[in-house]
Order: sequence, then structure tokens, then C-alpha cells
Amino acid sequence: MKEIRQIREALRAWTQTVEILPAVGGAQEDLLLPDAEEREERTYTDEQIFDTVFERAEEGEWWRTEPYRPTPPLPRYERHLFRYFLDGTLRTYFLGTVLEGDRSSPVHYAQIGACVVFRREDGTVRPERLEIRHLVLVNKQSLSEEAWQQLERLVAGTPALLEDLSQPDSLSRLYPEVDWRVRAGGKVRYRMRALEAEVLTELLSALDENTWLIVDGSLMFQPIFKSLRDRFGDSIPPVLGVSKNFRKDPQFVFGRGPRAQRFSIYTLLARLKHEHRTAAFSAYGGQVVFWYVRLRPQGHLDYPLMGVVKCELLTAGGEPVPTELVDLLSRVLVAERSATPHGRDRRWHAHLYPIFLAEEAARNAFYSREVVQQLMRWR
Amino acid sequence: MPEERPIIGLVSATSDEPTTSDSFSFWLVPEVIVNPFDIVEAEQMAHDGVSRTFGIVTTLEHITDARTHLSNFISNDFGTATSQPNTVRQGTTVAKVVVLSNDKDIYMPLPCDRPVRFADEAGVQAALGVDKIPEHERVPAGLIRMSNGTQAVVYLDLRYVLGPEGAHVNITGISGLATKTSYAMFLLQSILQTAERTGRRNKIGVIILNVKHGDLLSIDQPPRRGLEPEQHELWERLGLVPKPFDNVRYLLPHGKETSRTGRPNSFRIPERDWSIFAYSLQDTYNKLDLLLSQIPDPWDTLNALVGEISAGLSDPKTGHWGPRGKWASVATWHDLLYGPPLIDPNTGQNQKLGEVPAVTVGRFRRILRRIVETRQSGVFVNQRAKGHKNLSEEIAKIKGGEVIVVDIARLTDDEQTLVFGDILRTIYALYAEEGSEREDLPEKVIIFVDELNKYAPASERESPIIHQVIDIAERGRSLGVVLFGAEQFMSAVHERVAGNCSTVVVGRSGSAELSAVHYRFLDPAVKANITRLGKGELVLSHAIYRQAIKIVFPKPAYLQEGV
Repeated sequence: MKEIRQIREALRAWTQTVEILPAVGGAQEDLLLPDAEEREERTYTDEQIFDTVFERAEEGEWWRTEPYRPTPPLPRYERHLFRYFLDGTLRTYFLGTVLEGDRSSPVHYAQIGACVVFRREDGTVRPERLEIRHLVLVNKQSLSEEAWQQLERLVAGTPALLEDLSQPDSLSRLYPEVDWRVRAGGKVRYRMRALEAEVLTELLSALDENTWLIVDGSLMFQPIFKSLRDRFGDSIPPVLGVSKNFRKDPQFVFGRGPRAQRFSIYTLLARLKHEHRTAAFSAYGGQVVFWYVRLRPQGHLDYPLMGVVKCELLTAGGEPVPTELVDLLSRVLVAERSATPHGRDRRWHAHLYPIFLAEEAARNAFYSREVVQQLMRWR
Repeated sequence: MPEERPIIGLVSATSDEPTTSDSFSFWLVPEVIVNPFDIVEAEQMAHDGVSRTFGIVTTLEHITDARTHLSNFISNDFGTATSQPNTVRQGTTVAKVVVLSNDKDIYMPLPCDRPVRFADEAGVQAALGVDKIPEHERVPAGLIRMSNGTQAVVYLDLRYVLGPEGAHVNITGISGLATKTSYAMFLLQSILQTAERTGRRNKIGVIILNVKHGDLLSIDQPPRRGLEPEQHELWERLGLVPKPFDNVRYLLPHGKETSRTGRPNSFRIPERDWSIFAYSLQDTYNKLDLLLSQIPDPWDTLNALVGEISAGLSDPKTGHWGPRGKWASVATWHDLLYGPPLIDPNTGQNQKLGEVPAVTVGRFRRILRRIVETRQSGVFVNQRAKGHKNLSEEIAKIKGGEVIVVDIARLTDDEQTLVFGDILRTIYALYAEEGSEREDLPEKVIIFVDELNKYAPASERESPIIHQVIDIAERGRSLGVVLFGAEQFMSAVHERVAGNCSTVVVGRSGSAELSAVHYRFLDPAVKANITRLGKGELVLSHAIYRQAIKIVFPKPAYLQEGV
């Protein structure tokens, strides 16, 4: 409680300088945008058409006949490859509006967290690393220099970090500048992913070819990408990015010329069978390969795109990925479908349970909504 | 706080399930085994450092993060029973605990995340309040065995067993487990040994009714093959000596063959110190109400006749036997049944007696003839032979330190009721009416009877025997007359009798039985556990304990049939 009280006192002290219009009913939690991950993905690359299968197979270009490969599950007790799982989470509250002259800015408080869980040989997990941060977010452009500097001084005496909403970053630039409250969501998300990158960087020394890490989301997020490239250079890092929500606008082209086959993502995934994967495509200027894996049978789900995850692997050296490696990763990943967070997360069909646990561990370390709503009051 | 004992879990308080002054829950460290009835202790705040809150585990639940069973079905690849999950689902076992006590009398709800440990023996005794019983009032009542191997002797407070604070013990449970009588006999032995240790042996007398076979007709003999070593160990762990009863006197009933063979009507004849009792009319004329206890008498007519007969057969000056006037010729059962004044000698017909009509006299004669003639076991005699005893007189001779066993196993139900009622009435009269004028009269008399429901049934019908038992149950603790009763179903016992027992011992019982009001003192979770008690396991509720506990106890150290 001490941390949040310090932040509250700092904000209260700030009201001596600025006028505050408190949020109705105290701190209001901002709901997450349902398509945040998709939006995020669009910021990494403008590519929409993917026509390069970036695999290397001894058997030749198998994808020319059929762009799918079977990937029956390879359970933990046969090959325990994925040992670490990283995910981040966030919770943002709108505290009120600061008024200075005819300018105004929303004031937000957010908690971000990133957690890595380690899976033991027997399948139980323990948190390996957990980081929680507090953020105070205000639009600097809407404030006088004096008001901003005073806030900086006040927040410096607390565990929170002060974020300027008008400062550009790769994620919040997607959100319209006119709505600073929405933009605050992008800024917090950026900070959360940056925290994930921080935690990942500290973990990299524990990874090797038999000890892999799954990161929730794309590896194309620059701080993560850079961290992996710095550590592993041109070789393939033992880190798999798994996205349960991904862009729905890509097109996939197999072959060249008039006989080329073109698939929308819907067509491609609707034909993707249970325990199969697609061919791996090159993206991000050949530095990333990605493919899709169907974890659960379509017959049990409402929609063809449910039960499918997108996998990413870094190929900083620009070399195609061995088909055997993609197969292996996919098979081990299919086995991750059990257990599921069914009933606890609406994305359960594409969620990996250890990732869910990492997210829960971080979220459970947050102050509860009730605590924030009761304590984060202006008077 | 004994830090060397491992922490087995942490207190868990949630918004839906807060801790309270009376209960808390804790999650268990994986691999730790805890069972219902284990006694645990949790760290609690205190004015000066920490205190210990003790509690008894009532139920255990395993919870996971699966919202529904469907989630688990789906999790196993939509119902693939052979699949093994890659990641073990998050789950924990949660133990629910009822608070017993706090060693510094702090009953604030336990805060979340407080460490919980198994209590040690001293902790168990503190939890139950045994540490507050003066040493000389502690009676070993059994052994608690906990899941971590800890054993703790539990004690009853003698002041709540023999009075004056409370009294009476009731033992209930389904038959076939040979547990109820064994426990009663163990407890009697424990009380007598405690009394001996504290110099009070000659202040306690015991009367035991043998109601089944010859089980209690050799309680002064050691078992033929001795006791198993583990039973010896158990006796010694309780601080007791495994030995048969001493100073035992047996009273065995007269039978139809007794006059010919000289043998009593018993399944087994004790080796020594036995005598035969019988009932002549002279012994019974003032107890006919007890004899007719089982007979419905809605208009009180039989009772009126019994009053007439008792009055007629007693000397108005002394109040003792002394028929005179029209009763002068009545000396035996036969005289009463077939002669005047009940029969008109001229007509041979039943005749009116005082206000009692002839038809009632006829009914009385039919019933009495059945009880004392046609269907009797032989205990009713026209004249008691020399050497055969009057039970009431023998009971009245009870001395401190003595154990009297009265055998009623082969008697009919009516006869058993008479004998039991006779004993109660005699003892009650000794203590309630005469006080303790006799120097050798023990301060306390314990009367043990199995099948108590026969004598104090839960039915609404009043009867002399029920009155007698209720009197003892309600006034016995102040008089020093203590009832140890046993039965299969406590719900079949009169509520005023069962409700006056400060100590209740429950063996395995069915859930239907446990739903009766008699068991409302038990926590619902404890009731569920009682349905699966094993042989030799009992649940003990005592006036000073806040919750019932599970105990084991040693086998009796006397000769039993087939042993």
C-alpha cells in the first residue's frame, strides 16, 4: 500500500498548482482494446503480401504441392523444449482531467507487469521473474513548463514513472492524437512490452537449444528484436513468439506467374487442419519467419480462425529456417494446448496455459481495483 | 513458536470466504498430507508478540482454476482420457478449520498468509483446554493420532464425568464393531486407575449390567492369550496399566434350572465372587410399576391397581413387607395371581379392588401371569432359596472401589427393565433419600448399561422406568450417581437423557441417524466423517472441548468371549 499512497500524495500535492477535474466516482479503469495485438502488429511492418516461404527442407519445396504439414503433439515427457514462458499485463485507470488555462490533459495511473514462469520437469510451474511498475501519464504539451516540472519533481519521490503522452513511440502513434485517453492505452501498452523486453534480456543467458522461451506476442517489437539480435547475432534465438490474436489482412502467394496460388488468411487457415501447420513465411525484411499452427480441431470451435496461433522466429542471419526445426517447434507447441484456461479467458482456444499463468501471476501482483479506486482520490 | 516444526500451509482469507473468530482455511504445501480431525496451530497476533490459534481440520477441498468441469474436459483435448497435460493445472488443497482456542485468548480472525503447523502434543492439549484441567482431575480418554504421526493423549475432566460440573457419558454407534462396550469398559478402567492414582479409589463404585452373552462376566480375568504388544503400548502411552478389573462381584439371575443344577441363568459363570439373585413377590411388590413399564396404560388403571397391591402388601407402620387384612394370605406370586383379594374365592372370578374394576384386575392378572409365569426366564420365584440374594439389598451394599456386574443377558425384556429399574431406584434412594449416612457408601456410583434406548426410549409415552432414568440423568450429577449409557442410535434415546450427558462418544453411524436433533452439537463436516469411521475409532465430544475430536483407544485387558 505504501507505493500507491506515495503516488496519491504526490498527485494531491500537485493540485496546489493545477486544477483537477476528478473522474466521476474515483479512478475509472480503462478497458483494454479488443484488437490491441492486431493494431500492434500493424506497426511493425507494412507488408501485406507474403510470397516467400522461408524454409529449408531436404525433401525439397514440399509446400508447392500442399502448404500444410502435420504436426502431431510432442508432449513434455517426450521432449521438454519450452521451459520458460513470458507474458506481460497492464491495468490503466483514468484519474481525472488536469486543467490549466484553456488546456487540458487526462491524468492516468497504470500498473504494468511482466512475468516469466519456469516449468519444472513434472509440469508444475514457478515464477522465475516478476516485475511490476507504476506509471503516471499526462500530456506534457497541455501543461505549462512549471506544472510539468513540479509533477516531475513530485513523481520522482515515488516509485512511479512519469510518462508524457505526447512523446511518440511505436505503439501509441497508432492511436489518434485527438483522443489522449485512448492514446494513453497505447502508451501503457508500449511500456508493458518494453518491460517484457527488459525481463527477456535478463533471461536470455538461461536459454539454449534445449531450453526455449515462449514470448506472448510478436518478436518484431523493436526492444525485443534488438535484444535477441544483440545476444544471438545471426543464429536463431531459442525464443518463439506466439500470438493468439493476429492481423487478418495478409495475403499469401505460393508459386510464381499465372499458376501462382493466392490465399487470403481466411482461406489459408480455414484449410489448416487440426495438428497441422502452414509453411513458414519470411517477414520483416527476411529477419523473421512466421507460420500458423492449429492447436484445436475446428469442429469444436465456433469460427475457423479460432484455435490457431501465429508463431514467429527470428532469422537475423537472413537464412531460411530448417523445416525440421519448424516442425519440432510446432509439434511441441501443439502439446501445449493442454491444460487450457477455458472459462477464465475468452481467448482460451489459442491461449497457452503457462502464458496464462504468467499473466495471472503479474496481474495478481497488482493492487486490486478496489484498492486503487479507494486510494487514488484527489481529496 | 516451535520453529523446528515445518510449516504445512498458510492461512487463506478471501472476499468470499473470510476467516472468522470461529474458523479459517489454509492452503496446503504440496506433498503435505492432512486429514479431518488433525489439530493445527496458526500464528496469531498478541499484545506481547505472537499467540497460537488452535483449530481442528473438518474438511479438505482441492480447488483448481478451472471454472467448470467442462473446462477440464476441454482441457484434456476435448475428452481424451489418455492425454497428460503439458502443464499441471494450478490447484491446491484447502483445509477448513474450526477454531478450538487461542493460548492468549485472542479470537481475532486470523490474517491471511499466517503460517500453519501441525500442533504438537502440548499444543493439542492446550487446544482442547486439557492444560487447564487440574492434574488430579484428568482421566485419559484416548489417543489422537494425527496425519504427521503426532500422538496426543486426550483427557476428560473428571468433574464433568462424575459431577458436580457435569456428568454422564453416552456412547452411540452402529453395532457389529464391538466398540461401544469396549470403550465404556476402557473408560471405567481409566477412571478407576485415575481414582487410585489420586487416592480416591474407595470413593467410586461401579455397577455394570451385562446385557449380551458373557462378555462382561469375566472382567476380573486377564485375556487368555494376553494383549498384543501394540495394545500394551497403547495402554502405556495413555499412562494406564493394562489389567483386568479387581474387587469385582457378580450378581447372576436365577433360572428355571437353578433349583435343580444350582447354576445361574447366565452364558458364562465367573470364576469367583458370584451369587444368584431372584425375585420373589416379597422382593418385587413395591416394584411392580417397573415390571409393567413396557405395558401401555393410557388410563392409568393398571398403575392404580399396582398402587393398591403395593399398599396392601406393605406394613403401614414400617413401610416394609407385611400383608395384612384381606392381603394376609398373599405370600407368593401364585397367591397373588390365583387367590384373594384379586380372585373371589367363591366364584373364582376377578373381583373389584377398591376403585379398580374387575376387568382391570383381569387384565393385570393376565399380564402378570405372562411375565412371572408363562414367559419368565426363571428369575421369579415363589420363595427365594437360602443363599439366593435380593438384588436390591445386594446393590445397596455397594462399597467404594467395588465393581458389581449384574447379568441380565438371558432375561426377558420385562425382567431386564425390572432389574435395571430396581438398580436405579435402589441407588437413587441411597443417595437422594438417605444421603451418605453410611460410611462405606462411595461418593460416586457409575452405572453402565448397554441398549439404553430400551429403558429411556425417545417415545412420548411416559413410564416408571423412563422417569427413573430421567431423574438420574437430571439430578445424578449433584447426587453422585452417574449413568454410562450405550446404544446403537442415540436418536432412539429420550432427549432429556441424551441431552444431559456431558460426554458423548460417537462411533460409526449412518447419515440418516446423524441428521437427528440429538447430533446438532456436531459440525456438519464432522458428521460426514463419522460415517466413515473405522473399527476402534470414535468421535469424542466433551463439555470442555469446543469441537468433537477423533480418538483411538486400547482393547480391554480382561477376558472376553472368543479371545
